[in-house]
Amino acid sequence: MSTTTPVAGVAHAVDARALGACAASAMAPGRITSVWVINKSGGLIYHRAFDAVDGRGETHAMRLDANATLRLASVWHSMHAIARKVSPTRGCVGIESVECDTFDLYCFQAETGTKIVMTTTKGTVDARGTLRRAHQAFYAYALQNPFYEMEMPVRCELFDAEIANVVRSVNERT
Amino acid sequence: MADGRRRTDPAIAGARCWQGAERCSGELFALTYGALVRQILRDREDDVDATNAALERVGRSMGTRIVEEYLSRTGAGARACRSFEDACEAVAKTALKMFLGVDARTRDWSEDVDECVIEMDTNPLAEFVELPKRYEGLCYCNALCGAIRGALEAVRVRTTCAFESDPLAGNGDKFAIRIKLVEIVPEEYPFDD
Repeated sequence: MSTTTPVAGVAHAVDARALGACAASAMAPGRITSVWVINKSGGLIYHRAFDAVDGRGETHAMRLDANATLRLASVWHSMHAIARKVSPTRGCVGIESVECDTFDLYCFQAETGTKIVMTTTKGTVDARGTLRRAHQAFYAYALQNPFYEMEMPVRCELFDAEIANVVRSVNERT
Repeated sequence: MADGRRRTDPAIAGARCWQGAERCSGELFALTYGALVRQILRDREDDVDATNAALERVGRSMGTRIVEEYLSRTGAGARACRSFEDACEAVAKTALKMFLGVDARTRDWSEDVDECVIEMDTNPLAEFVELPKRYEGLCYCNALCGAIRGALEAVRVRTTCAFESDPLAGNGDKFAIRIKLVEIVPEEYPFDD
């Protein structure tokens, strides 16, 4: 009896630690590592990567060259369309999120065909709300800019600043 | 949006967006629009038809841009504007209220539900405006038609749009726009060609 109790106790403690670690990583706030805007014909019109530090102090950064981002955006556009086509029920809106072991990807497509995509580190994040805010920034600072040409790459300072704001508000929350 | 989600009344959605919107003075708006029309007339050397076409183009490019704001602010999901009827109701009750503060409604639906008239109670574009005789054929508010057409086209509803009654031109006592469905453009898939 006296020999088994401490063993059981140790086992219990280990379990609790493992559980705690699991819970911590599941509940840790996710950090945004990149934001993409894809136009209705699959062209990448905005891409920005962010360095994000996760709960364990590790820095995550997306390292892709410009050509790779363009290619990936177009592949994502096709995948999204295929998903809508293969859906067994009508009214599928396409892929909304992809979960990988090291990061999550969230996508929002407006009815006009513009897609906002973001990647985050593992953890909780208000994906829908964040994508919505990014979309708001898109119409308020890109589309309403008279010098912005539709479907062309977005080079608007205010849009840049607003995206940075949105990302900061997500990445700096504790 | 989920299937089960109850749809809000378009008029209420419009009023809510109008409440929350950032606004500018109505006079400033009317005068700015007037200045724009005047400048286009001058550039086209008083050619009324060319001016109408130019106003339509201006409106269209505004429409294709503001539709994104409309979709985002109303939270209209993937099923918004799938049918022509929904689209017209959205324009009349939500969009016109949201962007111009105008109360409007659809009437005179055709039997095949491919044509209707949007009647506006007021028109902030036409405040303080009187058209001189020589601009008789000018469709002063044509940018509005363009905007509706552009916005609907961006969500794949192709239409034609023209004023049915225009008090400025001396016909009718309310602004009314006749809007007619051309086609609902099927979705294009990148792997279909």
